[in-house]
Amino acid sequence: MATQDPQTQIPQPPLISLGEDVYNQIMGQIEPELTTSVVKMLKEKYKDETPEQAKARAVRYSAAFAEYDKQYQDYKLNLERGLRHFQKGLGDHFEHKNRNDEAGTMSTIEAAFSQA
Amino acid sequence: MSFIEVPNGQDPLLKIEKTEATASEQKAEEKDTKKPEQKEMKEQLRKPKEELHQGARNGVEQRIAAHNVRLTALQNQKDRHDTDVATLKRRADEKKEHLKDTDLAADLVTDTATAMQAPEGKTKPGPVEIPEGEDRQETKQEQMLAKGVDQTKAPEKNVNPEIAQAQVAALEQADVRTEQNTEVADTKAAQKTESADSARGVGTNQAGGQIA
Repeated sequence: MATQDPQTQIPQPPLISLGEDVYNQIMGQIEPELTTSVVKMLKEKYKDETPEQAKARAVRYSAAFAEYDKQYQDYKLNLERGLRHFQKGLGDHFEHKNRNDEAGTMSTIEAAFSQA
Repeated sequence: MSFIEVPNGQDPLLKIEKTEATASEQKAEEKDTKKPEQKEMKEQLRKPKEELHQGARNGVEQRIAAHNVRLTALQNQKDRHDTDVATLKRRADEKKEHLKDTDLAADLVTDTATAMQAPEGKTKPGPVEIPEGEDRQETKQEQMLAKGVDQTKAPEKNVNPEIAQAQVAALEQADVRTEQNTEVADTKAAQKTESADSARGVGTNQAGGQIA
């Protein structure tokens, strides 16, 4: 695959998903029972559960939320880094294009003045 | 059957029956008190589970909402960025147009410089021959001069150098032609005088006149 000069092509912006998609994407890896589709069915699923089991489940869920918050912070940092890179790349692209467009005309003008 | 003291004159069997009746009553009482306790225990078991599930749902909704708020802020930032990009593009296009005009101006400078250098290398044109009998017609340059260009005045200031140079060249051309026409007219006049003199006999002895 031929590589192109990054300054000649317009950079692509990072993909920013909706809240539910981001949540399920992260929580699905930590605690699948806490994804939006499964959390609605917990009451039916654990109706015959003992109190001790419920208590253990509560502890597990708390740990899952804490881990989610940590991974979401990392996700947010990566997203902001990607956005800053995109903004800078876009600015460099336009600067490079503008410089190229002007170069030919400027050298023509300079030649005209030097001949005069 | 427990040992029961029988009071004087009473039937011992009656006492036993009484004891059994008391026991069954106690059992019934115990059963009645257990029902609310069981209910309460069930309620106590159900509450934490309900709280747990409600807590889980709340946690999910809060985290989704937090990301959506962040998403809205990023969307606004993107809209501002798109506006900045559109402004940059517009300014770049305007700059291109300015450069085109500057390029045209540079060409004009080059042409003017070339025109200014050219008159020094030119030589004055040679004598113009006008056929006999033909009236000397006023040249275009002389017409232009007659219209408004004063030969004694220098070219006006703040005039396009190209036009000024053209005027100077026209003046020079007019001077040359005037000289040439004067020479031709003098030559003709001299020729006429000679022919007239020769007709009168000046310089001959035919009519007995002096020979000069």
